[in-house]
Amino acid sequence: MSDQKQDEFEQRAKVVLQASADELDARTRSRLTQARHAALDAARNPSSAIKPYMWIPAGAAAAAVAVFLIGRPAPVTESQQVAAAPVDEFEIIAAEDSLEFYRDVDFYAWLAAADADADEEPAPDGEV
Amino acid sequence: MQASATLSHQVMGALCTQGAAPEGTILDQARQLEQFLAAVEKRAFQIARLAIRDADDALDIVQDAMLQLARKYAQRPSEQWKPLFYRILQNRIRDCQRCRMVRNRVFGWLPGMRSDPELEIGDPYEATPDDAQGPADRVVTDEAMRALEHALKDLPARQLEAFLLRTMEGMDVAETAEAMGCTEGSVKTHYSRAVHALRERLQDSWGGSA
Repeated sequence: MSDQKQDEFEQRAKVVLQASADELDARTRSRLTQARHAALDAARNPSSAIKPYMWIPAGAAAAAVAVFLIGRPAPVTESQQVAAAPVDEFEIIAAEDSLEFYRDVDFYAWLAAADADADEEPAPDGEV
Repeated sequence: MQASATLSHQVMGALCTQGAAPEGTILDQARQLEQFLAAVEKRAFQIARLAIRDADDALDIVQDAMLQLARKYAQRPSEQWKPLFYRILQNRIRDCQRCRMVRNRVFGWLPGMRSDPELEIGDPYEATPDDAQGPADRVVTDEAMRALEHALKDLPARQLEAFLLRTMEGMDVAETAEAMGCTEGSVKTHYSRAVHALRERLQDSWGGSA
């Protein structure tokens, strides 16, 4: 292959390729212009790009949320409230007596004390 | 034109705030960046389109390359923009080709997932180029381009890169090596093989010059 022939071929290829680039359709040219303006806009606002160090506060926030969710005490359910009740209250719950009894337990205590006092008092007529 | 001037001033303002250089230099740099992008965009698009064989993907690739150059390398000396821009462009082209290869391997067996860009018919009015040449010249150039495009299709990727960067963009061996990320010796080899293969394939259609 002679150098002259190669030069001719390269020259023709260059002309053909350049012509194909110059004759782009209107839509492509318009989109290329938009792309160029977007790039120049990016150069104008370099801060709009996400930089690696921007992940640090985001990571810290995510970690804080995770810690909050994991470390937060779970809401206490009704069954847990029963389990945590003091032992004397547990006796009340487990007893076979009706709850009515425990509601008036002060009255019954007073009644029992009154009965006991009555037993200890001497008979009015002095009989023993 | 006025919009371009405004944009240049905005770019200048942004570069000023980065405190890289005096205002006059930065104004020049902003204008230079715009001029550089305007000068290379059409050829870059054609290089991407010939490598990818899809106009929409090629437009996306050029836009990505422009954005990356503007974001990361706008403050570099303007002499470095060309090899940097084409390096980014070639990387994007390779990424796109890899993606396609994977997609074809994974989904290629499905009916309807096989896409052949040559079979896709676009809007004929949009594809019609503007009349810068006379009709007779247009026919000759179009036929020559069609034949060249057909011949380029079978060229290995690296030979295609070397050929397009050297012939279309007019880069010298050193610039091409920088853009391709290889040695100057490799560029010479790829380019020489590309020219040889193309001359053989175009012998019939291009006649004397091939």
